[in-house]
Amino acid sequence: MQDEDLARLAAAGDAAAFAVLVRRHQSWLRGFLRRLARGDRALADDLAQETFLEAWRKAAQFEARGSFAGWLTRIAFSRYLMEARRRRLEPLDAPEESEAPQPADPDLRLDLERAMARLSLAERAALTVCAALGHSHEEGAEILGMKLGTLKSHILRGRDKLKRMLETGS
Amino acid sequence: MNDRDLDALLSAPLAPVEDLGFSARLAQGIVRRQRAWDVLLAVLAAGFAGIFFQVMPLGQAGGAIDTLSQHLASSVPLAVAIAMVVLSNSLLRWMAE
Repeated sequence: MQDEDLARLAAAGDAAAFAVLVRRHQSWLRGFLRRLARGDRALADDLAQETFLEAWRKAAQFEARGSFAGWLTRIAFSRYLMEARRRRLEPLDAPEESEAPQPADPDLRLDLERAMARLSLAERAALTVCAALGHSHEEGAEILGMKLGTLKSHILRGRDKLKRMLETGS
Repeated sequence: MNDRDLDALLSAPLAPVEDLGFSARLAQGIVRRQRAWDVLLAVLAAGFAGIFFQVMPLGQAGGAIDTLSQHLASSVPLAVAIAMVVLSNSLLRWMAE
């Protein structure tokens, strides 16, 4: 059954249909939030839980014009922003961390996560939504609540920084 | 690292996260919330019913029903309407047979 059909059933109070959606989407959503939270698994899982609970409460507001995954990503990102503000973790456009360079890791994926953690929140979110989660730039801009041009410049800046960091191993 | 390598790295799916009971805990939480909501509604309904009968005692309600039945029993237009319905129903049945 498609996400949109399950979402319609969930909107009518079908908890079993919503449970299918949770099982289907929990992995990437928690991965997305872990990346936003710079690897803080406990925070990411708490926010993933809050995201799903909000999606359950607001299932009737989901419009099948966009994808269910996109809608879920939008809720998750706004949850993370609220939590980051509350905990004073980082503003959306904070500059990247300027800590001492780390030695390059042979595992590129691990290197990527380390380098990602040093980008600004907006750059991390824009790159993850549009590259790893496969949304178009237009969808990404809508999900993250940014103008298209702003999103594109975050992606370009983020890519440049990542490239430099991965090349120099710092 | 060239642009193609970076693109490949960035577009790789996020590392999978094992469920490890996450979905089950969430589903239980939703069912618990639903039950709590149902209990709250039942308590509210009982509360409103209690207030209603406190404000309008059953004796008065019985009196109101009694008065209404007396009015209906002595109403000529109502009696004529009922007779018309019964007669037309009988006529239709007779014509069908």
